[in-house]
Amino acid sequence: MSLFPGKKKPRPLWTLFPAAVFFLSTVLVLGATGWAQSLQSAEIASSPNPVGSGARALGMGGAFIGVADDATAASWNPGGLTQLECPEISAVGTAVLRSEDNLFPDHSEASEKQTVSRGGLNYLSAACPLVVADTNVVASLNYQHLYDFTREWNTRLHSEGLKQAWKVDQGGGLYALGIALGVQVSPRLAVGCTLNLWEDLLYRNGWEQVIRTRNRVRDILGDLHRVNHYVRNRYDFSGWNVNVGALWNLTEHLSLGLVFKSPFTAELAHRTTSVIRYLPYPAYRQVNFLDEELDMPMSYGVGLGYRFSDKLTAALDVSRTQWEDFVYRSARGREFSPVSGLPLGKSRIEATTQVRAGFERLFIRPGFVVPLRAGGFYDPAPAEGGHDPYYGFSLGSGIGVGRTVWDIAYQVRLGTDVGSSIVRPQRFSQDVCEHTLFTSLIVHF
Amino acid sequence: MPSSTGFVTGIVTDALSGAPLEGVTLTIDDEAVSVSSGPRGQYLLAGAAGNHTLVARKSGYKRYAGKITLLSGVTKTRNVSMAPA
Repeated sequence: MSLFPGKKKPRPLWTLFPAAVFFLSTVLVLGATGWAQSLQSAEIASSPNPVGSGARALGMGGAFIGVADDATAASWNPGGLTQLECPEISAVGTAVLRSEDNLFPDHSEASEKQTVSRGGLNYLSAACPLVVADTNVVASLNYQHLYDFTREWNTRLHSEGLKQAWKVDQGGGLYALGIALGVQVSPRLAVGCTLNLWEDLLYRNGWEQVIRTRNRVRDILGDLHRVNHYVRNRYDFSGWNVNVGALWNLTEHLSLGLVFKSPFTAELAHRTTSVIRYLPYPAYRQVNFLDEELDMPMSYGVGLGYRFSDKLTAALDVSRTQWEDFVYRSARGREFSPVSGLPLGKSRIEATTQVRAGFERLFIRPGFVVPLRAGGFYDPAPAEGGHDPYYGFSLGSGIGVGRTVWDIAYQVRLGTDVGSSIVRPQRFSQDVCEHTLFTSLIVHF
Repeated sequence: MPSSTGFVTGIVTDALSGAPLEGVTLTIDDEAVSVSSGPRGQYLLAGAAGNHTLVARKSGYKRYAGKITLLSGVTKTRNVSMAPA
């Protein structure tokens, strides 16, 4: 018997159970696990380390904890906010071109270069200096884009009895609204605090990953089946944490910055949609809603700023992120590493230490100022059993005229033989090259 | 890409006689999508990579449930032996 007499080799009728027809329409299962049971890792495409914002700071290689003298201080070191002398507003935009040269040693057909680009808002801020009880106080409101999840992959994977074509689209980001306050506690020491609210505001706070696979697979007796599988995981992220910082002017030229970014547990509203189709039969769609959690790790850093003169400043930052505390907690309370997707007991994720250095040289001319900035950084990403080394450099410039400052920075971030935690169980590595352009506009009042 | 598709295939047999069983309903995690074993007892199921429970049911037999880990891009073999009720 054949449902499709026109076909030379119709697919066997046995492959679908008739009772399943009941489920042809959308099935909504609240609290079920099903497809969502397999862990999604939080694949952060940008640097996973919590760096600050601004074309000026990033033009200096992101070494800004010990400098932190503009409105982006709330993101680097809120202790530096008191250096602002007048109200200012700023906006920072960014454009990213990221390429991933993927290597599957066991699957040459899948080894391809994947490229993705995106642009958008990096930072918005408004800051206002005040004098309260003869004390310098600066209040600021900030909106920062910290993490980017944009990634696109189109690839094929062939193994014995299976030909698989993947299309992966991932997007989204994590944004924080920061309410910051800096206080001058002595002529040489200032402290500050930023309360970060990770909620939907200008953009949705979260990410989404869609994986479409088309499969031609043989069963144990060699019969060929065609199966299409669509899995969409959408995560809405919310929570709060604080950045606490201090800036200590050790000498007239040398300043020391300290910053602590608190760990926090974010609520993850996880919606998973799975559509599976055993061709030529109709597709089955299932949607699950799950309440999950993501423990975000603590980060802390120390920075030195040295002002050789009004025209030349150099900076060095060392910071550390406790990635071993980065934990995904499923709706059933099971804990996994978001880096690799392994159960926490089987995962070996370690803290990473980042080093950033840079300088700024100002060319002061009548009526305008032109800066030249450059820097370099070592920005490792967490990985199973160690870390993925990423390096980079940046260049920046701009112009300041009157009360308006425009800055631009170009940053390259490179990783070679990284990403082995992304694809399991396949042996995998990738070379990553990420070009980022930052541009800032600051207006003083 | 930790959650791509994996597969499991095998043959369902009667635990006493060893004969292939046709018409056994197989699911992953007791979900809506199920397949039925073929005339030679064969089946193929697809699912998201990860830990699952393979469930098989047929009238006159005890329910079968076994843990299985689906791996992205891999077809696993799991033969199922059904004990009469």
